[in-house]
This record gives sequence, structure tokens and C-alpha cells, in this order.
Amino acid sequence: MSTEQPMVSVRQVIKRFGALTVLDGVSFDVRRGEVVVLIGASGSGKTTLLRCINFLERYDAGEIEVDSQLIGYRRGAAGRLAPLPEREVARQRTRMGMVFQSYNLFPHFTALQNVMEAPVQVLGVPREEAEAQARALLRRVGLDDKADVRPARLSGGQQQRVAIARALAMRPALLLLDEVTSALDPELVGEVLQVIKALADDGMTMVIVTHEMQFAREVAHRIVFLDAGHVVEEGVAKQLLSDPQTPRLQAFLRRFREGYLL
Amino acid sequence: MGFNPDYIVRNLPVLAEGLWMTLVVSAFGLLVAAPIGFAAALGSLRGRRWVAGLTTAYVQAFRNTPLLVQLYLVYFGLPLIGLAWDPTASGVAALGLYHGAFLSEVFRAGLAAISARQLEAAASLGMPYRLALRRILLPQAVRMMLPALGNEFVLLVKNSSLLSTIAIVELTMSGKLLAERSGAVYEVFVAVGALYLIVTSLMALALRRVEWRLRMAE
Amino acid sequence: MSDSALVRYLPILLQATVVTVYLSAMVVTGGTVLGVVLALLGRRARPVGLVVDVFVYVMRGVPLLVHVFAAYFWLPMLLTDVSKVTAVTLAMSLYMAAFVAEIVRGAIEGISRTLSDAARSLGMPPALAMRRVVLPLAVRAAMPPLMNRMVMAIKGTSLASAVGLWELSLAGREIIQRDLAPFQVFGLIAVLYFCLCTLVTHAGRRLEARFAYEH
Repeated sequence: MSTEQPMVSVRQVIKRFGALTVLDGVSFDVRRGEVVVLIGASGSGKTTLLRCINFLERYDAGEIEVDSQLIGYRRGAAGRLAPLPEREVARQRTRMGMVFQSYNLFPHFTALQNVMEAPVQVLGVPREEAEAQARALLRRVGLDDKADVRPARLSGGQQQRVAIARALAMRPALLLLDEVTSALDPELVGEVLQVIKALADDGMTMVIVTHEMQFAREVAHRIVFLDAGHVVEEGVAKQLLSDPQTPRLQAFLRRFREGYLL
Repeated sequence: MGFNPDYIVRNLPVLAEGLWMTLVVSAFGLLVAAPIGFAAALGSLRGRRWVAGLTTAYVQAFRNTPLLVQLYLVYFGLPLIGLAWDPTASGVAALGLYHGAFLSEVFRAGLAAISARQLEAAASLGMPYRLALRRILLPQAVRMMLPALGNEFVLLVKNSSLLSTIAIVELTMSGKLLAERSGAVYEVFVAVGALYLIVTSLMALALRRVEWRLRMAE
Repeated sequence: MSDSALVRYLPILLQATVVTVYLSAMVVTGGTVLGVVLALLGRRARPVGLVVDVFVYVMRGVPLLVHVFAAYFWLPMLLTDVSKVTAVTLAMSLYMAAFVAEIVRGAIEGISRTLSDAARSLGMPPALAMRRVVLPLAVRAAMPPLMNRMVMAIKGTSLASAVGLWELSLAGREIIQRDLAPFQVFGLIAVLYFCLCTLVTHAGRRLEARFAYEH
């Protein structure tokens, strides 16, 4: 990969919930086309970090840039950060897609309508064009025969794949995936992971939060290990997983291998 | 069109009397509604087919017709069948019947929720039915009914205003008489509204405390 | 009163029913629309949100009859050309609006944060997310209590009789003043109201079923 500007640049980000500091000076980069997986115990701040990238959570200090654009804030005089109005943040979010643990499909729309909704309403794409694109995306995730079905009649795995198609419909430069297989029955996990792997092979830049170590090993270029709001270790995926350097990561992976719940 | 608070202060005693009547009528209304509602709930849950049918008919009829019409039926109708009741008694009866129908739905849901699970648990512990009823069902039933009764009382206080149409001098009627007599319409209705608001707010507050206490006791 | 006499009064009662239906329709429409507006306004910060909260609180804590009297006596003093119907309809609509506002507010807040997260993550600005996702789902969730409130509004129109507005209940009172037969007259009137209310309840349930998104 070239030495161009990173796609995502997280610099010294701090996030507090009241008295609790969830992120305490987190920094890392994601290069274009790279897949970075965030791992860590629950409470380590990985989901919060992900949600800060598309400003679903407001970070209190530090900077996050996506595609060289500062997210959620404007650089004012003397380098101070002024919060952006929600409308502007919404515009920034159109460049990023997010897939959630609980799919969050709109229950009153069919699968097709779910995928079409944002391009039509937010980007102003004409209806026929959006529909054609949506059908193509549903085909890509293997669900073109479920286009006119409502989420309530779809399995978890199917819903999640629709959710991925919905995020992709906005043609994002970056995809954020938050524990997207955690709520699925084990048999359904495979179909979702397959779709994500295909996206990675196609060169989509992704930041993924997951427990699935096997999956992380397969799809990640780099892994970032978070513990108590700090980046404790990061590096090339296969290497980090097989040869952890820090004691905390060693303990984490050992606990994982021994089957402890994370 | 100046607002003259002095007027309210001078006529407060009259309004206070009206308020007292409102509270008395509402309290008696609740006293009538509660047993009716409870009986209807029991009837629909554990009675035979015709009993359940009767209670459903009662509930449907009294919930889907205006209280005013029911009030007129009682007030104008009773004398014709030989019952020369006091208008106040007619009013209380009508309120009781109307609110009884609503209470029965609340009680029915509450009782159904409690009885199934709890009786099962008690039975599995080898508790005889009578004992289970007394030690398990009843305390929970009371805990369920108290907030429901409190809520219904607030609604009763508001509906008691309808008794003014049959010339009972409760708060609304007092206000109306005062307004017609003096023309100080603004002041009177602000006072009347404020008094109702105070009563309903105090009731709501008291209710919340009772609910809190009940929850603490769990 | 013989049965033939009752039949003689039937046309009047049916006419009065039409008035009641008309009044109910206006109150329900006004109340629902105003209620949704209030629900949305009530979410804003002060002072707008506070004003709405106070308004809803006052409207709900005072009996409808008092509102009707107040409107009947006050409005002609404030505005010149106000008819009885207008005053009563306004009072009843505002009363219903206060309850609708509470119901819709609760429904909106009940829409899980995850759905608004999804809408925001797709780049929907807040107004769009409200219009396309939150509000449609909130209205669906709020349908049962809203239907209930509509039935109460229909019953509430009977209070118009207290200020001399001619509708079904007043028609009944007038008839029995001439030809006392309260059980027959008010019995029939009760049946007419009952039909109206249950009709609305059934229509509401069918509407609910049509908009249900779960199967």
C-alpha cells in the first residue's frame, strides 16, 4: 500500500460517559483498502470507538478524520474544535456505512425498500435507478428473492445481509461493522462472514469489531487490541494472534482459547 | 378586561364548598365502582359462560356510551320505576356504574396476570388453594389494585363535573353559578380550573408515592 | 310514550346523530393533527418545549366540561365572531390534542434508539429520520391508545349539550321534556352512541391490521 493519507485517522481520542473514561487517548490509522479488526474484552471501549468514527457517539477530545475530513467538529480559530450541527454530521455520515449487532432494519419497509430508502431520500437518486441498484446489491448478498419481504419474516442472518446491502447502497468509502455476528445463531454466522470476506476481497476499507477470532484471522489485515480504553497492541493480524507481545494480549487470547466468555 | 384576583379570594368559600362536594361524590363513586369492577373482573375470569357474557355486555355497554347519557338514564329513569332517589345518589350511582366498567378491565388484566403464575407456583409448593388465595393472591391483588383505584379516582374527580348537569352543586356548578351571577368569567374559571388541577396533581403525587412504597416492599 | 311515538321522534334523533358525527369528525381530526404537532414541538428545548408541557398538563388536569364552559364564555369575549360550534369544537379538539400529544410522545420515545441509530448512520438528517422512520413507527405503536382516545372524543361531544349546542344528547333531553319516556329515548340514544363508538373501534382495528408490519 502506498504512503498516501490514511483513510481513517484516529488521534488521541478521549471519550467519557460521566465519570467513566471509556476511551483514554486512542490512536490508530486505517489505510485505504485495509481491514482493521478491533478486539478486546467487553468494556474495553471498542464499540464506543467505532461509534465515534461515524459520530453516533460524540468524542470529547482528540481528532478523528475520515478521508481527510474532520468528523463531527469544525476547526475554528486557533485550532479549537467547534461541534458541527447535526445536519452537517449527517452529510459526513453518507460517506460511511455501518452495520449493527441487532441489524436495525426498518420494520415497516421491505428488504428492497430498506436498501433503497437512503439513496432516494438522502442522496436524491431517482427511484428506478435506486431500485435497480438495490436489487443488484441484494443479489450480491444472495437475497434477491427476498426483495419484497419484510424483516419480520427473515432470519437473523438474512436480516444482517440486508443490513449490509443497505449500508452498501450509499456507496460508502468506509464500512463499520459492530459485532455483526454476535446476535446470530451459530448456523447463520457463516453466510454473513462470507459476504464480509467478499467485500474485503473487493478492497472495501473496513473497521470491524468482533469476537470471532477465527474470522478476524481470516479477514483482517491488521488487528488493534484495546484494553480499558487504551490501544495496548496492534499489528499484522496473523502475527499478532499467533505471537502476542504484551502480557495483557497474551492473557486475553489465552482466556479466549480456553473458552471464556468475552 | 382586567384580572381581579381579589374576586376569587372573596368567593373562595363558595368554591371550596363545591370542591368538597366534588370530593365527596367522587369518593362515594369510587366506593361503588370498586366492588362492581372487582365482581365483574372475577365474573369474566372465573365465572360460567353466561356470567362472563353478562359482564362483557356490561363493560362494553358502559364503556361505549357517554357518561352523560348514562347519568340522564339514572336521573330521569329511576323515579319512573318507583325509586325516588336524591339527585346526588343518582349521580354517584351513574359514576359508579361507568367507572366500574373501566375498573373491571384493569382488574381483569391484573388478576389474570397474577393468578396463573402464582397459583401454579403455590401449588407446586404443595400449598392448599385457600391458603394460596389468602397469602399469595390477595396481597398481590391489593398491590395491583391500589394504583388502579388511585388512577380511577383522578378520572372520577374530573367526571364528577358532569353532575352539574343535573343541578348538583359541585365545583363546576359552583363556578358556573358564580360566573353567571357576577360576570367575572375569567376569574371564576381560572379558579375552578386551578382547583381541579391542584386536586389531580396532589392525587397523582400521592399515587406515585404509594407505587414507590409498594415497589420498595418487593 | 308508545312505540309509534318513539318512531315519530326517530327522524329528529337521526338528524341529531348526524350532528354528533359531524362534531366528532371535526374534534377527532383537529385533536389528532394538533396532538401530533404538540408531540413534535414538545421535544424541543425551552421555551417551546416548556410551554407545550404546561399546556398539556393544564388541559389534562381540568375536566372537559370546564374547558367547554370556559371556551363558551371566554371566546366571545376575546374574538368577536365566534359561533357556539366553533368554541365547543376548539375546546374539545385542544382537550383531545393534549392526550394525543402524550400518547405520541411516549410512542416516539419508545422507538428504540437502535432504529434512529440506523437512520443516522445512513446519513439521514434528523428531520428526515423523524419523518420516514420514527414517526411512521410511532404512529403504528400508538394506534391502540389513539383509537381509544377517539372513542372518548365521540363520547365527549355529548358535553356540547351543556352549553346548548344541539346534538344527540340535547335532542334527547328536549324530547323527554315534552314526552317523558327516559328509558326509551335515552336507551335509543345510548344504542346510537354505542354503534358509533364500536364502529370506530372496529375500523381502528382493521386499520391497525393493515398497517401492521409483523406478518
